[in-house]
Amino acid sequence: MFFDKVITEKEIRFTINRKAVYSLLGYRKGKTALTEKIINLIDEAYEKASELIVPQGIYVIRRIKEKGDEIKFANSKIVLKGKSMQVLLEESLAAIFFGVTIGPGIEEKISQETEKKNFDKALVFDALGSEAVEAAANFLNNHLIAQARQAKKFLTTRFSPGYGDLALDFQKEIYEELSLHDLEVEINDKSILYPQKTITGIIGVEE
Amino acid sequence: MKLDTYLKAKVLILDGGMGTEIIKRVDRTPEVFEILNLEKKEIILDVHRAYIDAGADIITTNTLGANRLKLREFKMESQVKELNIAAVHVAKKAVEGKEILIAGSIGPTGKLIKPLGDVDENEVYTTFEEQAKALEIGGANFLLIETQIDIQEAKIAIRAAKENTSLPVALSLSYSLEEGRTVTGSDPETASVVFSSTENEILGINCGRHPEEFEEFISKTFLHSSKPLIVYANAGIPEKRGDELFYPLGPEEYAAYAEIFYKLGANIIGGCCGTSPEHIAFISKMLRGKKPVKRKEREKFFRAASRNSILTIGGHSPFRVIGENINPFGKKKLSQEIEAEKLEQIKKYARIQEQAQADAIDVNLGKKGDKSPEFYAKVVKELQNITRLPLYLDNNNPKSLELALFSYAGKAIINSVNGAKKNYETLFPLAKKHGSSVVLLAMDENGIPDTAKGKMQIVEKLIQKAVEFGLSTDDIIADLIILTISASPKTSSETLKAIEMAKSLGIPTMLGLSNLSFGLPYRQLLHSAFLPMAISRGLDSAIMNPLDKNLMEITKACDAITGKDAGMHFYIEKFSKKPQIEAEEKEEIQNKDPEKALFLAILEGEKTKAKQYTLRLVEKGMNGFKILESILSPALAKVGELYEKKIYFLPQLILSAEAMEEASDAIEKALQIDTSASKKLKIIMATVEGDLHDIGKNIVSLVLRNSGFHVLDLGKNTKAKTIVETAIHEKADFIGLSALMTTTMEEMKKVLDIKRTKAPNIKVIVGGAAVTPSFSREIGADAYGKDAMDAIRKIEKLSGNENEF
Repeated sequence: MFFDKVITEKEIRFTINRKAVYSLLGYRKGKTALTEKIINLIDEAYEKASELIVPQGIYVIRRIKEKGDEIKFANSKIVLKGKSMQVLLEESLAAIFFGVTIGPGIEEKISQETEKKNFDKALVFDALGSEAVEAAANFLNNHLIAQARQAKKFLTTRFSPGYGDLALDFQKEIYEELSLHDLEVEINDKSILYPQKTITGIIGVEE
Repeated sequence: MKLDTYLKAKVLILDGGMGTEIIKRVDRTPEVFEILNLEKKEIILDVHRAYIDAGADIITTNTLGANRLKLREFKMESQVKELNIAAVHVAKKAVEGKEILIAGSIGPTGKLIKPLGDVDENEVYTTFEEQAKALEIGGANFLLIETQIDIQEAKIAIRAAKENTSLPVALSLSYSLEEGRTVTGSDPETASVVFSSTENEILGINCGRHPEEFEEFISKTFLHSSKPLIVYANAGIPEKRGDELFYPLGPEEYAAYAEIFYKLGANIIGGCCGTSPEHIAFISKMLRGKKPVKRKEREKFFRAASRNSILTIGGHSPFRVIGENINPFGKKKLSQEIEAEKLEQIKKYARIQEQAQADAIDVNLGKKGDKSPEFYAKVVKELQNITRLPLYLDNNNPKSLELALFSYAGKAIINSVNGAKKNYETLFPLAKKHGSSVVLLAMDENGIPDTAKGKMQIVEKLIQKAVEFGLSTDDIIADLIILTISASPKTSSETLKAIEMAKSLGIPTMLGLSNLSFGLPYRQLLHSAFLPMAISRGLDSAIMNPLDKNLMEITKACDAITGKDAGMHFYIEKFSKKPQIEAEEKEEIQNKDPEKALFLAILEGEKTKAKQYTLRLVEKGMNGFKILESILSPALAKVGELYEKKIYFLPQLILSAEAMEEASDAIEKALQIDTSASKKLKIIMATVEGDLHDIGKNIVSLVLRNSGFHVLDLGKNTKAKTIVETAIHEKADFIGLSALMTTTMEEMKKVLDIKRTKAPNIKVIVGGAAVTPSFSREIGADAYGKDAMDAIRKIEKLSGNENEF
């Protein structure tokens, strides 16, 4: 594990969990009655989605320079405040800042289907996109865990802006830290990312 | 005495932890333990002697991290040879002519191979080569490739050791992840398949988890491997005490686990991190001179594996489907892509075959695959990252096969070896070297025999030769070849006979099914008819099209019938359906009662049918508004009810609303009327400024529109001012606002503030992921809608109140 090197990860591999997609769409086991039409709808979108998704991840590891009310890092402008970050990084010596995106393909598809008034398809692609970016984040997370193990380090759970008292606005800082612009991710002044199916977050590195 | 003679005679006692013993003997822990082999030999000598005194039959050199890639981190890569040779010399000194074996320890490189990490296979190979050679020069009795965390790296280590030294090799893996897998995701069962046929003489397990978990690891390893087993666990899971690690299991407690290892059938038993000479003394006292326990009989299977999943064929295994679709023959797009060395189509076929539940994938790139070994190997390398399924390497060029096998993280299948001398004399050694399985093809220099007897003669000869070349009969499957029936009408009966003959000899079998029907119409029908015949004679697997749903279902039905689907569990799970209206009943309704048929079409979200039945009713002279009121609206209300009860989920609600929209449009067009005239309330819908999410809002709009409301949707990222001004201009009754994020929720307040002064009578309903009822109250909205159905209810309630004034 290298400090301060921004690493882009293009080899992100996963399969979208079908069950999770169904439950995201509101399916309840034992209650919801599935029809072949719905299953086909989801199956077709599922197949198509794998062509549309181009996952990429990016991360940097920063050594913690200062702990206290404010957590500061070596070689970084980032300052973390608030209880959530205090708890997450309590025993950490460094933190990984990461971003994961599945690219604009799914969102473009959603727009197309919306324009054609195929809201059913738009919805299913949206759910697939959500699951995909989650799976991509999991892959990157596991990849980092494997690397950490090699270096005899442990990782905390991952934490994203918008959870606990870490404001969604913090996405801006991660965006700049990682220069997410290079992955063709954009951010607006409300800290909303485009592609929407993009996740940013923080993971603590413990000895 | 040699290692194999020892192993036959008795259970051997291995030493315990090296690192933890060194730490006990030094003031300051060195960064690189191996440096002590040169600078403080007496410490290492003392550790070795302590283990010999404790009763160890084997001592391990202090060289776990003495490889180039590890040492490079400390700028010591030039000392690989020196450190390893010195380590063996210290061990030799400790042995002093006693009958004790020296194991040359080779640990992981600490790097992961691309694409998981940043080193390539060749670099890993040369790293292991260098260390193995040095340990042999030093005089180690065998090599112990230990604590390995990745099967691909371990495979390369074995080859580097075997191709560059003449020493026996033991491989020991570490299953350190919580779920009992190596760091790169392989479980003991998969590893035992992969390493049952590689050239390491001994297989084992060390480090990682608590010794109590080793019982399961050992049992799983024995499922597919008959090799002698080496086992050495840590003295429990370490706890951190200050700067030091404390291993909780004392000598006696650890020895109790060692006894379990012995009873399960282990051949070499010792300790790993945290075990000391005292631990080893206890084990030695208990096991000294005992013969290894006889293991349980293994079930015979043909087997192969990818990095993290195994394939068994024959025995009690269900019928196995090997996906045939990565083959350019007859596929124009795929073959153009292969020619251009692109991978998109290939990857797509891998994915969809896995989704279609194939059990393995055949990789045939036609002539290109034979001509360009580099491209073939590249494809195989990429595919193993796309699919979990094991791969059949279907290629005629031994060079392509060799390159692909080198990169394969698992146990691949060579498809195929035939009875021509030159062919099998090239390919069997290749299979042996890489530990892969082979398909034996029932043909030779003289072509394909016409008769079952002729085919079986070739297969039997090939089996004999394979065994002579050192392959295991577990790694062999016979392809008995089915020819095109239009050209050779007798082929099917002879092939079926051959299957039966192979079955009686216990040889697992396969066929390339699609050959059968070449040149004939309605090929699927022939496949569906032939497959059950072949399965009834004993066919175990076929290369076929997993995307042929009917054929796939037939294989499942055959498994249920032949008892290979235990308890018919899979069959019942797959084919049990939730009760639906019977097809016959449906058809009757459609013909006799178009009103009910339209109702059902909405209920089932059938857009085309909804339109069709609506038009039929219009033709019959039914009033458009009546269709809306008496059929469409009640249908959607019923859908809403099912949705609320969670019998329908969101996609069904939307499909029904869309079908309803289709029906309304049909009415409007056919009768030239504006159905919105009947709608009493007008609603402006929008996602607020800064927010780009509009799926939820679109769904609410759609459902509202089809539930009797006049909806004007302004889209996403809409300015507060625009929303209010449009509402005033359009004389709207309601504004519906959506926001998904905490940062954009605040925009809702802006809308309400403007509205309060400019249009106090318009009511506002809000919703979206981040929005809560309390937030809605806080900003002064009139209602909060949880979802589309809830929004309808709230709006109706609000408008009802309004009417009372």
